[in-house]
Amino acid sequence: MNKTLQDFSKISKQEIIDGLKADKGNAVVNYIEEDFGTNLYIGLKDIHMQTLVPTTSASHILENQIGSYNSEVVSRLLAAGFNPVATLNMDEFAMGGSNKNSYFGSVDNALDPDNIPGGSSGGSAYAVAKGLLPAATGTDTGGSIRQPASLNGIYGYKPTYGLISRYGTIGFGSSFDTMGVLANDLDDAKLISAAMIGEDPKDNTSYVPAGFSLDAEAINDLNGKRIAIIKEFSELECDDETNSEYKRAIEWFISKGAKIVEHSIPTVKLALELYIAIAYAEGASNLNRFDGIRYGTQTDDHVPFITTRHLFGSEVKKRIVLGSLLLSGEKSSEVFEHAQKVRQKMKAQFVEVYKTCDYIIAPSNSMSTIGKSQDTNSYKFYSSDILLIPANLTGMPSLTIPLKPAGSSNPVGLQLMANRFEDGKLFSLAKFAEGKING
Amino acid sequence: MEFTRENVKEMAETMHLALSETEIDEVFAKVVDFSGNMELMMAEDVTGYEPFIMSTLNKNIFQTESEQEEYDVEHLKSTLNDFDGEYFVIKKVMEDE
Repeated sequence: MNKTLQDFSKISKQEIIDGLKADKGNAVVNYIEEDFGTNLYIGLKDIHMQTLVPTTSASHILENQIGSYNSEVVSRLLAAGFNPVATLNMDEFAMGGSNKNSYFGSVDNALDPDNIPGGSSGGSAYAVAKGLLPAATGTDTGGSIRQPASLNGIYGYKPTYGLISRYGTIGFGSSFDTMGVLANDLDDAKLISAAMIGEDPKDNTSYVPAGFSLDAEAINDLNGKRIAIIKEFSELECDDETNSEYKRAIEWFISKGAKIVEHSIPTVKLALELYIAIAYAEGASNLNRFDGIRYGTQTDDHVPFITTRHLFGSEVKKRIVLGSLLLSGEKSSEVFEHAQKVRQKMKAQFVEVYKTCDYIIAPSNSMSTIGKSQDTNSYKFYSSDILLIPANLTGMPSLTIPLKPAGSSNPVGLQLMANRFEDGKLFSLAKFAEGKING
Repeated sequence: MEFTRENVKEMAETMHLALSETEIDEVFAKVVDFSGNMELMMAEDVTGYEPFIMSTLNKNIFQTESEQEEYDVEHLKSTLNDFDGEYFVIKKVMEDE
C-alpha cells in the first residue's frame, strides 16, 4: 500500500501487469501491453479514448470500441513520459457512485472486499489504494474522483473546470465533467496533473489563465489563514467515524493557527436537484450519439439506434429516460434555465465566501464505508452528494486528502476547496498537512 | 413539471431502451422524489442572475464576463461539430436567427 511513482519506477511494466492479473478485485478492463519504455506507470480510467485498447466506458455498447485517436489526456500523458498500464473499471458512462453499475462487474473496496470502492472512478481508486498502481486518472462529474478517493483512503484531485481538456474523454455532463487524478502520494498527484493541464483548441471549454501553476507559495504555518466551514454541509447527517475525524481535522487546523469561520450557502441544499436537472439532461443528450452508426456496437441488420440501445446498463437507461423527460416536458426550458440561474447564484455565493476566506473544508463523503449490499442508486444515497456536487456546479477545484494513515480501515477523506484557478493553494495546504493531519 | 408513470414508459419505448416494468417503477420513483424537491429549486429567487446557457455560448461557462470572448453566432456555428453541448447551442443559435 501507499506505493509511489518512485517505488514503481524500479520494476518492469510486465511485473505490474502480472500483479494486476493476480489480483481479484476486478479493477482492470483491459491491459495495455505495449511498453513505451519509460518508468512512470499510470492507470487510465476506461473513459479516455486511445488507440491502444478498447475504450468502453464500462459499457456493453462500447465493448469493442477502439479509438481512432488519442484523447488529449492520453496524448499529454504519453508526451510527458507516462507509461499507461491498464484501463480501469468504472460505473458505466461515469453514472454512479458505487462501481456496481459496470458491464464488467463491480469492483472491491481496497480495504474491505465487502464494501464498494465508490465511483464512478472506483477501479482507479481500488488499484491505487491496493498498491497495484501508483496513480490513475479519474473523471469527476459529481464527485467521481473525490468520493472513491475518500472511501479508499487516498488522494483525489478534481481541478478547476477547463484546466484539463475534455477532448476525447467520453462525456456525461459536459459542463460538469472534469479530468483529474487519484494517487497514493500528493506530489505524484501534482506531477501527473501538471502533465495533463494545458489549453486545448480542440475543447472549446478549455481555459488556462496566463501564468497558471500548481506550484503556489509554500505554507509554513496557518497563522492568518481563514478556513470556512459551510453550515449546509455541516447539517448533512454523517456517520460517527466521519464526524469524529472531521472534528479532529478542524481542531488540528485551529491548533496550527487557522481561524475557522462558519458561512451559509443556502443553494447548497439544492445541489442534487440542480445536478439532476442539468447533468442528467446533458447526459441524455450526450448518450444519443451511441446509435450504432458512428459509435457503439453495430448489428448485422444495420438498423441503427433501435437494435443497440438496449445494450446500455440499467442505471444508464434510467438516467437517459429521466434526462430525456426533463428535456421534453412542457416546462423543460423554464426548469433548465431556472436551474442554470440557481447555479450561477451558487457560484456567486461561493465567490463571496472566498472574498474573506482562503479555503473551504468539508468531509468528502458522509459515510466512511458503504457495504456492497446497500442500494447505491437511490435518491437517498445520492443525497449525500451535496458535499461533492457544488465543486462541479461552480467549476471550482477540490482536493480530497486522507485523514488516516494509508491502509487504515474506515477511511475518511477531507475536501480542501478554493476559488477557481487557485488549485496551487490546495496543493500547498495539503502539503502542509501531509503526514501530520494523517500521520 | 409533472410526469406520470405512463410518460416514463413512453419515453423508454421511444428511446428503445427496453426497460423492465420494475425499472420503469424505479425511474418513476425518482421522478416523484425529484419533482417534490424541484419545487424548492423553482422557488429560489434568481433575480439578477443570468442562466448559464447564455454564457455557455462563450468559451468557458465558468469564465467571468471580462474573461469571455465576444459572443458571435457565426463562430459558434463554425464550432458546432466540436461542441458536446450541441443541443443547447443549436437551440439558442436558432432562436437568435
